[in-house]
Amino acid sequence: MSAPRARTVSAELLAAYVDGDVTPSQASAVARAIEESPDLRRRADELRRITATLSSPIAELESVDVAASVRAATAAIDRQRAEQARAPRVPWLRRWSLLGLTATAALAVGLLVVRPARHSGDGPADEAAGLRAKSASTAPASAPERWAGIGVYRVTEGGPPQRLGERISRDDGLLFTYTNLGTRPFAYLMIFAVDGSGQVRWFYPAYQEAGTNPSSIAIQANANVPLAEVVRHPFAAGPAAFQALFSRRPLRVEEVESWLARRPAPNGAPPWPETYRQIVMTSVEAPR
Amino acid sequence: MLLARGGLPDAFDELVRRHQVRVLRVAARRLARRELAADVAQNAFLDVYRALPRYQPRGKFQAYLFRAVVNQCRMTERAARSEGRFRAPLSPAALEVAAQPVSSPDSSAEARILARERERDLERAVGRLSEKLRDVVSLRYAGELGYDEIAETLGLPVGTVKRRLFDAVEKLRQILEEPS
Repeated sequence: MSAPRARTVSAELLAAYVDGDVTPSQASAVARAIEESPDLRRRADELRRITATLSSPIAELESVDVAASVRAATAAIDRQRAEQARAPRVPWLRRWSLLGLTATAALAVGLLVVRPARHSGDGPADEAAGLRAKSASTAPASAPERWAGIGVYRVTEGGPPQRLGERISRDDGLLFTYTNLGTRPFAYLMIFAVDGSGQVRWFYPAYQEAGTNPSSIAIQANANVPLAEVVRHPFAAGPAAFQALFSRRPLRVEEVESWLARRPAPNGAPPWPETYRQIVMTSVEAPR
Repeated sequence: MLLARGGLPDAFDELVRRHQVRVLRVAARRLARRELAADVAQNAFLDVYRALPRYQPRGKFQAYLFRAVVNQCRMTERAARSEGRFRAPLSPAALEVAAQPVSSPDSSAEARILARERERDLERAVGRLSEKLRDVVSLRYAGELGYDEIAETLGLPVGTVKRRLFDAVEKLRQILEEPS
């Protein structure tokens, strides 16, 4: 009885079973066959040993760090690129383009600092005003805003990422970085946005399935740490407040949403102890 | 990756740090020569860096990175095949790897020797597989990639990836069972 059943388990099916790539009915059939055939069990055990060894760390490589050598090599590539870029240019043209860039940057900074908040009322635009006021203040050295914060970048088709400006298009992808330094760096982070319709759009943690209640992501103490995913949301047109919550314990999506539902004051502190809230404002353009 | 392309300082550095462990493992398993893994990993990251201005986020970055790793492994192998008369000197990083003693969390010397023997036997067995089989087996187990990610990396249908993978594992079992 056992021999025929063992024979029906092909080598490919057994390998698929060990790799976990079988249907539940196949899995129970193979498991039964393994129970009945010592030879099949031996083969399955050997396959498991092989895959476990292949998956295991290689001791000699665990302490190898190629980052420093890659950094040195990329610096050399950059120098080479810079030299190549310099070579064919006409000097006066380059000087003028640099002057132009500097003037544009200065103008842009001036606009951001001087431009008053346009909206009034109890909404995200007021949060923007709060943020700008906060940014302009000289925070004490121990204040979290000196040491923690996010960077928001918009990603358009084919172009390089750009720091979030006054406006984004509904189709823009978004990338984030965070900085988390200071004497007592935070341990967890949440990033979400409240759009013009009042909808909360989650970036970190990802919140895609109703009924789940994911928590903050763990973060490290470092500067400009990129979060790898480009995320898109179907934002409603109008003001959008991107918010970051740096905390010492993981927060749950549901507790944050119920706090937001109580419409907290734009510059109000979050209800959780030792939590820092940062708000970055922009405006989502209406689709044409 | 996009941040690195946008010139954000340290973004590429962070990317290297995040992926280097798996890249090193894949290179070591794929080549069945762990002393070359550091050189392959470095060259693969540099390939990605050189291609930054042209990078388009169409698929998963992992697939993009590991495609560079597999390509580097193939180039290294081609170079190694013509090494009969000429052997390129190893880089300092590779020499450091080659010089390190094999250590195991098990404190027993006997168990350590056995584990090392098993490792070496398996490495030799992997070295006897075809390139195609080594590609999938290293990406799956050392790179921890899913079937679809391997398919994207190698430009193959998922079914082919699975067939090659299961074929590779069974061949390894047969090779290891051969009397030495």
